[in-house]
Amino acid sequence: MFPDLVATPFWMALEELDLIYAWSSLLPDDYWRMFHELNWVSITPAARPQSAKEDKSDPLIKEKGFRPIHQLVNQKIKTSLNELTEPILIRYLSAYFDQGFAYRSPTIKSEGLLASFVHFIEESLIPVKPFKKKHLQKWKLKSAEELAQELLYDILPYPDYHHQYIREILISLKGWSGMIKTAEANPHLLPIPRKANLLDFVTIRLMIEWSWLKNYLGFPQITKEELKTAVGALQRDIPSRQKQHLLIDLEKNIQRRYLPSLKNCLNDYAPTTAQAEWSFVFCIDDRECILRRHLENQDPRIQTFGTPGFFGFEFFLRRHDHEHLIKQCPDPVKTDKIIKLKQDLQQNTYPWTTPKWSNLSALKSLFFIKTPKYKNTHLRLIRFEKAPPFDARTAFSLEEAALRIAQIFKSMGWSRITTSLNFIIGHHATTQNNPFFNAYGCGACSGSSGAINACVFAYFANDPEVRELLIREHSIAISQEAMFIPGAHDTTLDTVTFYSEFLEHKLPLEVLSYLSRALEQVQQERQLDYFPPTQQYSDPEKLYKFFWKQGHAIFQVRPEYGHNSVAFCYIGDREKVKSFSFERKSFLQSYDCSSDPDGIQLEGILKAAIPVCAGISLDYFFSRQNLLLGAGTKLSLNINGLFSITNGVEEDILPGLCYQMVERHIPSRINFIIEQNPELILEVLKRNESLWNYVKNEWIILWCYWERDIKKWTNDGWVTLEDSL
Amino acid sequence: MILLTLPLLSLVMFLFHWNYKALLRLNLSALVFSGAYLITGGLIASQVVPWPSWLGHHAEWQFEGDFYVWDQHWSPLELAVATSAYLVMLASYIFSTRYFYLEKEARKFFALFPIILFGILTVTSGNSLDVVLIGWENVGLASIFLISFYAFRTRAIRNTVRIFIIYKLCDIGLLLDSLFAHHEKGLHTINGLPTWLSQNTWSSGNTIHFLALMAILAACGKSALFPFFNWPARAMEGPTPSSALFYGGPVLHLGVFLLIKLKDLILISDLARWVLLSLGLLTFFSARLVSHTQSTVKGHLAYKAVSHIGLISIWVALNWIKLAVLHIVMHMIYRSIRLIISPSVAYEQAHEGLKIQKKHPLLEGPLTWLPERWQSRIYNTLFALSLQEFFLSPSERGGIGVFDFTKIKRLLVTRSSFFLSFSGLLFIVLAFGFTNMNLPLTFGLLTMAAASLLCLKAIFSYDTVKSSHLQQLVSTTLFVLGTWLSLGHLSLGLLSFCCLIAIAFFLSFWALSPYFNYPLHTFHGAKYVGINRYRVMVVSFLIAAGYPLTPMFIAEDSLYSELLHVSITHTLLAFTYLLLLAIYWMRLMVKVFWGFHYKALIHPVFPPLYPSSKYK
Repeated sequence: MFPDLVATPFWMALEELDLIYAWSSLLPDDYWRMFHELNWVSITPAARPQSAKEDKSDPLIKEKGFRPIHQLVNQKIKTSLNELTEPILIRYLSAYFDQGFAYRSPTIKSEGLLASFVHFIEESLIPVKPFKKKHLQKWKLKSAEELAQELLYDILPYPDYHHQYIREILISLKGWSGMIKTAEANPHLLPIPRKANLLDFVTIRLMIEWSWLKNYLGFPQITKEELKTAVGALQRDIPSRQKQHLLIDLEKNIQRRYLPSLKNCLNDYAPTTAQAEWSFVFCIDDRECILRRHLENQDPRIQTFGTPGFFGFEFFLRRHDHEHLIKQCPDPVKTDKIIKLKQDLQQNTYPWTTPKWSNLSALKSLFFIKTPKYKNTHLRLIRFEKAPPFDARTAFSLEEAALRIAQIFKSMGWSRITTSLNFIIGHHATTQNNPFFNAYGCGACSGSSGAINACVFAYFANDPEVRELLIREHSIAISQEAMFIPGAHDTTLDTVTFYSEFLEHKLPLEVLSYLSRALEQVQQERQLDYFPPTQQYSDPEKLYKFFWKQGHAIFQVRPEYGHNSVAFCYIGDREKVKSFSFERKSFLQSYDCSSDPDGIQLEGILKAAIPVCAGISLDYFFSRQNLLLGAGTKLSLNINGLFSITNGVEEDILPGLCYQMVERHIPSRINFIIEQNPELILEVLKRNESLWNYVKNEWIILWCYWERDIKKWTNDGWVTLEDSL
Repeated sequence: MILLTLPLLSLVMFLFHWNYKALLRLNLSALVFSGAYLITGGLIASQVVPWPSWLGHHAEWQFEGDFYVWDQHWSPLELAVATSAYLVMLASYIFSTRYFYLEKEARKFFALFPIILFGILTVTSGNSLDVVLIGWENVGLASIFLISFYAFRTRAIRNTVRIFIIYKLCDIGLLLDSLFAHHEKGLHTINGLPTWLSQNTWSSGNTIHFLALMAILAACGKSALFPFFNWPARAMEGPTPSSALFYGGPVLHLGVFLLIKLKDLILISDLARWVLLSLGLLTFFSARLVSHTQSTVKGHLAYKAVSHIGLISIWVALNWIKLAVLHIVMHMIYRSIRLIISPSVAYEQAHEGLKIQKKHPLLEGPLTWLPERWQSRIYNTLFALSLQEFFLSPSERGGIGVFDFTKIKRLLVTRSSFFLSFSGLLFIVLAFGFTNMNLPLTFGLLTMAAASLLCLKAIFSYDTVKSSHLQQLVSTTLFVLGTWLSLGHLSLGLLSFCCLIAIAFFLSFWALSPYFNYPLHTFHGAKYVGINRYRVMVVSFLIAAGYPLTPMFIAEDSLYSELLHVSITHTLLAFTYLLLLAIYWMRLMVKVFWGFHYKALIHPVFPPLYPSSKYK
């Protein structure tokens, strides 16, 4: 997710951020004080940071980023060069990258951004401020690199500082530069492709700045001494160095709360003799963690598994009558398979109930939201819908399907399927009027719903020919009476929908009532996000209505808290930690260490799990510093060209998550706990440099459970649990 | 009259930091009162009941020989617009109570909400220009504070200042109308307009043209007609419900609604009708063209809304009043809801498929016979025109479009050129004054002109806060002296103006005292250091800018009418000076108290964090 950022060590990256923003990359002091009050971090009175009210220091920084050379230029020309340059640049860039919202787009040249921009100015019969056409003739003959160098030399005749100047250009529109860099590296991310690179962006910006200075303001006369003192202010004390210990304290606090008891739980494990009768396969998502715990507590005959929520089937979904393709697998996975829906889905089948922009019926939901009633109050939270009619056979041949299913079963360490009812449950969220809807969905399905993937998996796994192939080629035995039933868990409403209408009255009521009761308990536990312990709902009916309204109200900015407080990723046998509660803090991946002596399955798991889980965790970690690295508040957001969000009409585009999503997040790096031989884990990680970077550069914290002990990986070697805390 | 107390109460509650729930209750009671008011209005308009005397719809009082009339009247047209505006406000209120939950400055929104409600109801139901003006200014006030809702965003506050200047400039139109028609020529109620027009013999003369054009100027500002058509998009900086209230909903339509109220005045003047028709056409076509290149949802909606306003003003110019009112009602409701659910567009587009990019209709239609090169040239020209918003967006340096005011600015900032321009002015005024007026009047005029020039210099100043504000103190003293000279005696209007501006200066000096050494070339965000001083500064700004929530409004009004007895030139100069004074005060407040400050990064409203269930 951050391919080149991960190549630099974590602490160095934080210091880099401090240089850019002249402000701590870690949270402001008031946050740490509050964490202290909540006992999340222990601060001694001497080391306690000052509160904002006590702090009397006047900071150097007057802008979003720290840009000494530009501040110097602004002083000389007595106006803000930024404010002159950005409006026209941002308007053109949004028009250029627009994904189909604007009615008219500028002429797009195949050469890329710079060529299109020059073409636009040249063709226009009226002037484009601040350009003059005589300059344009000269610029056209040069390459972007030559042009940028020449313009830069005119603005700032000291080549030593050019690097810093370009850096400041990129910082001042950090959202746009990041977006262009991403579009350059992964052009497939934009449905309507646009060729762009960072050099073009810098050159255009330099062209505009140069034209303002040349045509209107005059070049600023800056001496080298002035530059030296201005840039020298960068080498100040870095506040985050003082705060690093706070972050480490907080992380250790979390580890101290969970890891010793996890170790005890693992050591005390004794295999039970109870025969499993029902199996549930969930996504590894941390929001499923709580449901699995409550479900297993209902009856020892229930067993659950965790695997990435696309269930091994990577494809694009094309809805009936729509051109647009929806990706249904993790972002790094590449695919060209397309599954078509034969007819459009019902409104309630999928969480696609958002009021249409073109439909004014939205006003209705301001005044009342109807909560559906069910005849059977025991099964209020369980619904049965018609399976979405899709065409899977054209996308996947039987051999391909068998291979994918076998991989999933092997990675979970589940090679003999004897249980008669196997529920494959994806997940999604219901949220209205929300530009962040994808952030609430299934991360392994690129933010859309995992329901279709579950249906495709169950479709093939129920196929007798595929079962034959599974036994013959992959030695995976599925018993005759075993049945796979697809479903989806709505994490906002906490309901489960099964996509097999005809089964409604055939499934044993026992397991359904277990599931329903588990969902009710999940809702009871999730109340803590919204009400203090003294004011909780005790009536499940009221709670059900409350969560239904959370998901269906168009004015709700906090439908659920998503991946808040995620801190762990446990890769190992679920059976052993059944009695341990991770409290919604953990991704859970099923893995059987004994059946994987070469680490082949582990490698497959880690390849998906590390980028996805660490990506999600770091997304929340950095968005917690919300106004600098996140998207700010959700209330004023404006959607720009269907590819980004901004505030206002000509401001920088915003990365990260909004404040309402991360406000309860405890910022810590993610702890990977793997149940496997430590040497084997290192061997597997070192085989893949991209994975090893995460560990080596401390972007994640690696633990292993082996020989009745939990050990932590530091760059000096493995350390026991007692020493590391 | 009850309505009048609510905005004042909300402002007081906000300034003295009353809690969120109390503000919500106040809003709810404001909505209930307004609802009752509307129902009464409906009964009266349908002639079921007469105006009850206790409702106090008509009041007159005298101040220095001038009539001030408070009069309200409901006709079906007014009732239709007011009711639909009320419904939009009601929906926004329901939406915002949950939407703003735990938001950092939610109290600000709910303090401004009754002010907007009050403003809209007074403008729609007001039957004298005094009442309309009070509502009008209140709406403007609430609007600028909502645009700068997130006062740490530099782009947002720059836009706020620009919009404030546009508002103030265009409010002159309504102020002049009220001054000339009401105070000078005795037009007391708006529904007495036809008889007033027929009674006066000069009604076909230049005065009528002037009054009608001034009304159109006022509408231009609030409704974003042609030269100002790009401010609604610039104003999309606040939270979504406030954008929906303003730039899609009720407030944007107030301008054209004022024209409907004054339709007898507009329709009697052919010049004004032609001007309005051409402005409407220009607005429609330009806003439509710009909206086609907008890639942001709110920007697109803002320009679409403005293009509809253009259409409505065409209906008014053509005397299709009922169509215009119907259009206002439908469009107001439709556009507000579109804005409120604007975040849904991403979801819908991502899941329902993207639009196919269309070519410009010019190329498909009548221009296809042109060579391809010319087609491309015309397309790119139109694109450049709409991307630069017809060269009408003011740039950072005070220029508008291709025109550049930097040289004038520099002329004012350097001292020698200031004296040069001042002596030029002296020469002109003396030459002009000696031919027409006696000596004290000329000197009064000259002093007032000098005060305006000094104020202009202070507006462009990049010095420290202290020197700039002292300069302004000198300029205000000069202005008071000049007015005194011109009037020949210390009138009641001037005296009250002196007292109030002295209070404003006193308050602002206290508020600014810790920040005297700050330079004015950048924003300082001092609001995040000391909130109390900022609140005092806001009060002093409200006084200095003459907002109707303060008595300064009446003081200024009577000052104008006193000066009108002297000469029109004096009145216009006083207008200019007080406009400049308001802009100066706004700029000072913005530069010192708004802007990015690292303490703005701290979110003071923490969510209630309850420790999760017991650890094992």
